[in-house]
Amino acid sequence: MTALNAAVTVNTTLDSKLGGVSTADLQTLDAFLASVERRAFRMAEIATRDRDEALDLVQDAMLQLSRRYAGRPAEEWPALFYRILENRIRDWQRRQTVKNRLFFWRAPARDEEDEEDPMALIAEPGAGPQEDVQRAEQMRRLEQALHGLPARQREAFELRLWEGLSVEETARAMGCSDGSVKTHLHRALAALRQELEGVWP
Amino acid sequence: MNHEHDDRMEALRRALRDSEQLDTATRAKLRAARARAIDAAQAPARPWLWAVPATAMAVLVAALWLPGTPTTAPLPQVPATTVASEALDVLTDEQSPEFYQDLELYEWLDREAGRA
Repeated sequence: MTALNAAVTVNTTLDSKLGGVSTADLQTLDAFLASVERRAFRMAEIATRDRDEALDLVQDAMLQLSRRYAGRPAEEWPALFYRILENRIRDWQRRQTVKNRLFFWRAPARDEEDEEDPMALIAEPGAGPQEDVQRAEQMRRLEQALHGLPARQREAFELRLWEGLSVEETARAMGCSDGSVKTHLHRALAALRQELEGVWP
Repeated sequence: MNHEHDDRMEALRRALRDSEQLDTATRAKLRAARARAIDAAQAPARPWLWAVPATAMAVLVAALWLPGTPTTAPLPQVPATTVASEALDVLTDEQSPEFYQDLELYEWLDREAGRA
């Protein structure tokens, strides 16, 4: 009877392990990715100002996390995921810089009309049209200000305030010290305060 | 941080969180991307896969490079008249072709005999 129990346990273990990652781990990973995918997409979209590119970057980050770190403890995933994503965004920005230098005559002038309608991002039924317009304008200015921040300051602000990572987690995600995170965040807040003066109460 | 500052930060955070309400198409794309990522986590790790194209490339490079090596090596600068006279000697000599194939051996034997 004991041998039978042992065999059942072994079979169950084998069934629940796929590629070294248990089914439970995969479910946890799926839940984690579901919890961050929209935020990550918005962060990438603000950095790139391109929805398709943002989708590609988030998909790359998800794939990389799943392939390489699915077996790691779930507590490590947020820092790992955002580190991968921010690296992808920085690589993309470098490529864009080079591309724009090489093909400067083809660089499209960004038209206000080409930009995403911020109204579409505000989903709060019940608010009046006047409030909607005001909120949309606030959002547009906030995105503009975030986009204009140096990359490290933007990362510190997004990870610490938007995502809500701790200073330690943010430092791990950014690959720097806790002190650097605080410095970047302080500068980011100072810059945003100046940029958003009169727009945000 | 003072109270006013905290309020402003909280307002920014709430606005950014509200902006995560995406359209249906984008949400569907993100769901599909997540499904692909989960599939990737299930796939067994095959770190040796990179070796296949690397080996193929190495073989290709070797195949293209090796036959060309002798032609790319610098040829010894020998006066044309010397070559012609040596060729004539070989053709008119009574020695067998095998002798010329082992010529280096005979030269070495000759040197050794000279030392002794």
